[in-house]
Amino acid sequence: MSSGNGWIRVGSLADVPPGESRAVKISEGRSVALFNVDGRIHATDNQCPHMGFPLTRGVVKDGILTCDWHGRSFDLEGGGCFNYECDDLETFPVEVRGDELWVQAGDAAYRRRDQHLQLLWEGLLSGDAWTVSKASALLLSGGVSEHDIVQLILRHLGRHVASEQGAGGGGEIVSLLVSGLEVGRRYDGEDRLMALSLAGRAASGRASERLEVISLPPPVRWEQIDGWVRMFSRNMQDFRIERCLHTACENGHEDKIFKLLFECAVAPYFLGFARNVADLGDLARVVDSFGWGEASELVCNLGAKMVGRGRDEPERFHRDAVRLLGEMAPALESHDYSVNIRTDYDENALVDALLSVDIERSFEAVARSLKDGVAIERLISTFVLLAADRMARTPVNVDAGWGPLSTEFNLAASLRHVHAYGGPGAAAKGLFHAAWQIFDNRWINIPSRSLDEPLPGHRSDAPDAAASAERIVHSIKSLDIHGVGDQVVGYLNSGYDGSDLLKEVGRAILWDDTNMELLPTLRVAFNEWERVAGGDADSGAEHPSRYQLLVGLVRYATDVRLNKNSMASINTAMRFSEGRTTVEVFDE
Amino acid sequence: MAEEQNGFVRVAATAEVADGKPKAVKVEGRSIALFKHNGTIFATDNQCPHMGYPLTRGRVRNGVLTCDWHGWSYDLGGGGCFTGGCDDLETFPVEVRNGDVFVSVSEGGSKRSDAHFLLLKEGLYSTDQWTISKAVAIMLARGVSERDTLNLIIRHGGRHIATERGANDGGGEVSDFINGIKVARQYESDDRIIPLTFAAHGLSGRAGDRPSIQRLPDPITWEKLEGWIRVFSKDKKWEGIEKCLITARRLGGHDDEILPLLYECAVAPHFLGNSNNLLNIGYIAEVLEEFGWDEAEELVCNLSAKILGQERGLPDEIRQSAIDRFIADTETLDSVGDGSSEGSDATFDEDAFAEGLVSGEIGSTFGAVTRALNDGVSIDRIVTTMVVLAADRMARTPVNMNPGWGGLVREMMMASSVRKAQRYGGHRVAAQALYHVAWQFYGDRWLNITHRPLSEARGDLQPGSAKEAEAIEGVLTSIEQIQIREIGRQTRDYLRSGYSGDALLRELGLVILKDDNGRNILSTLRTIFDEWMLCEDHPSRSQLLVGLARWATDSRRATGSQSAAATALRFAKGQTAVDLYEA
Repeated sequence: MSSGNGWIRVGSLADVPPGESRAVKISEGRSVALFNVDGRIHATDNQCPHMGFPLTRGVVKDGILTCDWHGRSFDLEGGGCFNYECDDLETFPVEVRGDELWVQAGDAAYRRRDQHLQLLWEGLLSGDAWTVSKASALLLSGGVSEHDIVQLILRHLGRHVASEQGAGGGGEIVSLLVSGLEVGRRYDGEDRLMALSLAGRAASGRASERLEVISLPPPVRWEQIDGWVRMFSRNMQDFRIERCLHTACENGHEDKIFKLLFECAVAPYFLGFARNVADLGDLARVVDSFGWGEASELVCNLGAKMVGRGRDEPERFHRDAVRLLGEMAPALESHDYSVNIRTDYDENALVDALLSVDIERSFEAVARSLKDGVAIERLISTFVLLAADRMARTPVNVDAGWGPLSTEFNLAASLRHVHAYGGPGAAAKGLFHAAWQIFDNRWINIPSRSLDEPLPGHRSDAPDAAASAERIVHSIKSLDIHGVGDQVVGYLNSGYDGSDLLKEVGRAILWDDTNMELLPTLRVAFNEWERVAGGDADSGAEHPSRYQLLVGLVRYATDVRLNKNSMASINTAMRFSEGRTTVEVFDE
Repeated sequence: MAEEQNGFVRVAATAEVADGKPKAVKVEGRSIALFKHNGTIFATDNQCPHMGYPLTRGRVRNGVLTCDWHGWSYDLGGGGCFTGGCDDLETFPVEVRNGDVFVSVSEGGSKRSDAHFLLLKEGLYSTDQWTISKAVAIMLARGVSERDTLNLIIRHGGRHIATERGANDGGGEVSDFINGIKVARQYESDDRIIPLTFAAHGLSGRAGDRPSIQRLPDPITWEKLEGWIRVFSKDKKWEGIEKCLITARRLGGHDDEILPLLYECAVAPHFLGNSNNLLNIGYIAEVLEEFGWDEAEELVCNLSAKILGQERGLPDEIRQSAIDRFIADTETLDSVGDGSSEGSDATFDEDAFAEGLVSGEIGSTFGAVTRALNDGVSIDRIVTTMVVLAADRMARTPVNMNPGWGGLVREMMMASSVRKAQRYGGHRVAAQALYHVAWQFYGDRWLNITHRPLSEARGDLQPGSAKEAEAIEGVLTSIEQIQIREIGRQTRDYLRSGYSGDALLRELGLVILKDDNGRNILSTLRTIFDEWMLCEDHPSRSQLLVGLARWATDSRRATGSQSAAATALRFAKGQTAVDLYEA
């Protein structure tokens, strides 16, 4: 059937009558469409480059081949596509040898890297999930590195955030992007593509040209920039900060930027902007993984928006807390965090204070722990596990508070980034922001429990680890919110590997439409499980509450899939009319 | 006090400048601000780069100088602006010698050489009127290249329209741009700032990111592209048209054939009733002529594609029958050839032609055009009649009800645009375009303007006693004071006094441009500047000025409520709208 130079016999002339078309399979997965138009045979790829519909079922008119499904049109001869967000169609030389039809299909080597990068950019601009996924899949299968793909996404994202997003929206995107990429690295094949596509989709949206930011004219020293950024941050003047940061980049001070931004973000007046700190941590992760090159517009613009964001006059409790932290700040800044480090401490006392609904007591307990030399990473573990424990036990019959609880969890974990990129002083202050977040969530009626209290000891009755994990995934999918938590504890009590379970649960999360909502929490659960369940003694290895990391995640993943807003409000209304308080309802 | 050393000029004693007490000094005619901050003396331009407020009245904190008026802030040392992004403050070297402050202004300050273009870009992105005017004013005053400035605008405009605008709003913006440039040519020095600002403002607005359009892969020929553009125009698929146009550009060798093709599609019968197409393709043709393909490619390819591939509502029966007649009439034109036969203009019965045009019967309206073309009357001659007819209608439309200015100026601009259609698209295109103009006259049949033969001159020459300048002043005063009942008579009196009218037109134009309605009138003003020259020999030419003056005056009235109330009252009495006109 084939001769040299890739020529293949695909049939006889009589197979394709005038005005008709026919599909011929030339190899596994490659189908060629033959068209007989005005006595001439044309051969093209049979897969519509848009969504793969067979083009033999399309219509040819005026030399234009139009696909039946979404109406994408192509030059039948050269294959050029006439629509936006679509690839050109591959066409093949045809020869009629006697009665035989021959097509030169060529090799299947990948030559469309540039076109597919452009396609990805188009998808990012329009926000079309299909185009983003398709372009990513084509690039990856063509051997283009994830690194190159991410560079394009970052360049686009810098523009998008600069022209379309504020601090909150931009921060959320960066968080989803980093979460998608980090989660994706734990998977292969289609799971990885799913995570990468989620990251790409999160980063998509309109982007406009803008006046290029130019350096401040010299002479400008770093000390001036440092002072100005702090002043503009206090005064909520985000635009002014961007030019300062840009100048710092141009003048070779990139390595000092994140420390400065973190110091601004954990300032007392930003108490209550928990997401700001967490998102800034993710921004730092972006630069750490992908360099300043394509990320500098994103960092200067979004960093400026974050630390220069507007703030309302704080209400009473808030004002008191800001004042309190303000008073503690000098001591926190001057403390030497490198001496007397310890990892054993009275964790229960700290947790009691954090949950006391008394912000003064809470802050003092944190300050004391720091003063006593408890390692910052160890304190962060307490906050992370406390949040996980609360997620593992929050009642779901009223509003379970997943949004605020996952913020509590993610913020606590992000303090590790603050520590790594902003130093111990910034991380220490960050702990107070985490404490405030717990105080702010005081309306969620979770009964208190000591973190060293043993969890139930039952084991899974499934025959093996895989079956036990499968049961848990089934419970998530079938919305068994009341059984799923115990199943996770049973799995872990049986000595099965938590990482394996996490991977299965993560896969279920990735393939559900709630994926975007859960992605940041999934990523933190992965990271923290490694750290806390692994051998990292500084972080509290083998912590008695470590299972709650998985229980919390799994309960969250199950409960968000319930569509029960109407039910919850009706139930609450019924109880309300019976004269009962919400806490009574929680306690049911 | 001007002791000079190495370019440094003594400007003050150190004791005269204190922390919190800045001082303004004049050096070489410029106002320079001196500040003392943390023991150091700084010198900057005293004019705030934003709107010129004296910076000596601003505050300094932490090395940042903030203007009192709008709060723009600058680095006191380097002059970098923290607020506007690009408009840095000029700072000057300072030396303190023996208790005296010396400043070097002659060495030049710290201003960037491209500051003007950054400012212009900022105005284009933000659409801020003040920023754009300032950029244009600086261009005019400081010798910045007008060509470079306009090139920057056209490139920005291409991206802006490609990502943010459709066929009609995009066309309107190009109209402001090109008409602003053309009107500016009628004026000198400072008078050019308003039309040039309109031009720049016209193409301002957000410009989105977009990947460049890739050409279609080979094998491609111009013939294929030409055929596809026609198909896609019929099928309302603009993306395909844009792709074909870009491919034609990359293919090379066919640039000259693109405009005629665009025109051919734009005047197709199915576009009857879409009066924007003829105008907008005309503006695009002028942009191309002014800027060339290299600068204007994105704008021309994208906007033309959107125009030719735009959605069209289904025609109702009246429009459908007009389309059928249009097709039938233009088929008979094939025998007329290319219009090169000369000499028939003399036998042209202009009054009969005009009467047919405004007859209110589509058969007579199109019939008049067909007959004139078949008689070999030149298109230029027909256009002149249409333009003057429209002007005459503007000069006489009653203003006690809706005077129909929108339709009337469209009659004139479309007619005038046929000259461009002939120049860039050829005779056949121009002949077809005439039917689109005729349809506009037909569409305005509800306007109750009595017909008057155009060949009659308007009144005898009556040498006026007033000096020309005084007569012009009278007309302008009437416009400013909205004397709509006086303005027509005054303008006619002026013209009957034997003045050429050129001076009046220029002055009228300035008054129009300075009014907030100026932008609405810009394209008509431009048309009248053109036609005033082209209709020079026509006996009713003066109606161009009368019509313009009346419209400029009437558009300044804000009497929507009054007119609705008056119409409602008459309506309740059982009177028809025509009774009202005649009231």
